[in-house]
Amino acid sequence: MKYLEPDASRPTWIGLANGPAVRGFHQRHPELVDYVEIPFEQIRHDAGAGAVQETLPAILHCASMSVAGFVAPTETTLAAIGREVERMRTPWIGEHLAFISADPLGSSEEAAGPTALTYTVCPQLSEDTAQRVAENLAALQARFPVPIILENSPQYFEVPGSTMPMVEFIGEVFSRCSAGLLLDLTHFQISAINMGFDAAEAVVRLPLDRVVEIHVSGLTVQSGVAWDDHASAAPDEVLALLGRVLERARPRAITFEYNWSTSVPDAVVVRQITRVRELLAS
Amino acid sequence: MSRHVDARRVHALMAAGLANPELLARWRREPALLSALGLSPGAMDLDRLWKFAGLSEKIRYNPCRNDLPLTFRLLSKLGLEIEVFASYAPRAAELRKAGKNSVEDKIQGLFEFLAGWAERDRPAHVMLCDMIRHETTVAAMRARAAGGDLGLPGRAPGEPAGKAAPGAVPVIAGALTLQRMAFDPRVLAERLRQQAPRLDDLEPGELRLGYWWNGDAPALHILELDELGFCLLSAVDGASSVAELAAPLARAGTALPLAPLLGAFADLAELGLIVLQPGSRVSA
Repeated sequence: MKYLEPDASRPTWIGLANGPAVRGFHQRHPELVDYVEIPFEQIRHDAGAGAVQETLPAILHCASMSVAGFVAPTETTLAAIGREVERMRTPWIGEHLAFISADPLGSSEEAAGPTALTYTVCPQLSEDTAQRVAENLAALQARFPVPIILENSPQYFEVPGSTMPMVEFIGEVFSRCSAGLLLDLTHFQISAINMGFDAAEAVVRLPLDRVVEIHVSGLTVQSGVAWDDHASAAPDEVLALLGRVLERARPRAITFEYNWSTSVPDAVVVRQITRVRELLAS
Repeated sequence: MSRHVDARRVHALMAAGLANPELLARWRREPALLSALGLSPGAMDLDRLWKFAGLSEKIRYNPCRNDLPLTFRLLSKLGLEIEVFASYAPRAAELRKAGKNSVEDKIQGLFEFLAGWAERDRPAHVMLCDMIRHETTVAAMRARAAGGDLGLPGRAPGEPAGKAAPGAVPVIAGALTLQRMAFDPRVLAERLRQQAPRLDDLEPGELRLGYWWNGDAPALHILELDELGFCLLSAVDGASSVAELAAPLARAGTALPLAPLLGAFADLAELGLIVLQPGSRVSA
């Protein structure tokens, strides 16, 4: 098994989200990739998904703690996450600033238990939610020996009852906790497109001093909405946002999330990673 | 910004709609139903919630990308991913409830859904249906080959094609699946392999393809057939003689006198697509 070790000559690691293309890419370009980011849910579904750590160090990503939700994750789930934290020796856990479960709607549904989803959902952007995040995080962090860092959600629509835009919400959350930020620049760009704000202007108002990790991936505009797309390469505007952030902050890791298929050509990934390394070196 | 609505309640509503496509469909038909649940009808963008459910469904189908790489790429390039998966979500939920969760179940479910959902007068829809039919046919043929299920072997080099007599029984050599297409999947595949594929110059036509594995060759052949060849191969059942096939062929619109019918079957035998086995009965 490989583990991440601090390296003074490479203060920012660059990695790939675990998917069908990772092994082959790493074999062809071993010098370009420092780690693989493995979703906890992938390993939960298929223990073999963690085997890639025999060749590459790993960081644990998670979408199961429902940090911005009102229904706590089960003890079984938290224990399983804890086992992976130990096994991987991950430096942190990247978790979504979102919810993945919620109360049942009515009394007839109550017997069936909470509503569990398979994809994280942007929460209501309000002080109530920010306070809930802080409380949830305090309880969850106590369980793990490594920090939980929070990833901004893509916003696809106005969530009813929201009282503030995304940038202010992130600021509100981070004013109530000491967590690090997993800044997903594609999610931020998607939120900007869908909610009508200028991503380049707004990104510098985020708590960039708290950035630990950055995600980049593709996006697609379909049916009038911008959507997350890990089957396509990060567009120029997302890489431009990255450049803007790197002028002001140095994350410990940058992850390219091209893990839904093998459709992003090697040459594109090589070019993007090389460009990012040049930015980091400048 | 919206007026205050309890976050816990909002999350419960959103989760319920996302987890239950039928419920979401009901809300979209009758937004006033949300009032009874504590939300004013215009407060939630149900159309976007429906589309987000499509994104969530699409991600559930990521394991199918290995078998349907071109279908998924085409869905993306046509801008139909969200619309297709949002529309498919109720059926997908039924399949999950019935325990049909394997990759094969998902591919079959998606295939059947697209066949019913596609509008025949929309070239993009037809293109999509042709592509998924192409990829599922190739996958099925490969599975047959891997399982050793390749039917009657073809004739060896130099071996005669068999006498085209009225009593001869045509049998498919190897394994063959016939498909009618409006778009050539081989052309589509080539275009989709490009970084910025151009699809808008492709016009629908009439294409008859035979996906053929002759059992001896290492690879699947994709043959372009004329209408006569397609109809004759469609009729071959491995038991009926050439003379016995004349009547059903005529009913299907391919009426040929016996002599040219024999000649056509002889041509197919010469190509190696069929073997003409001697019949046990003398036909009229």
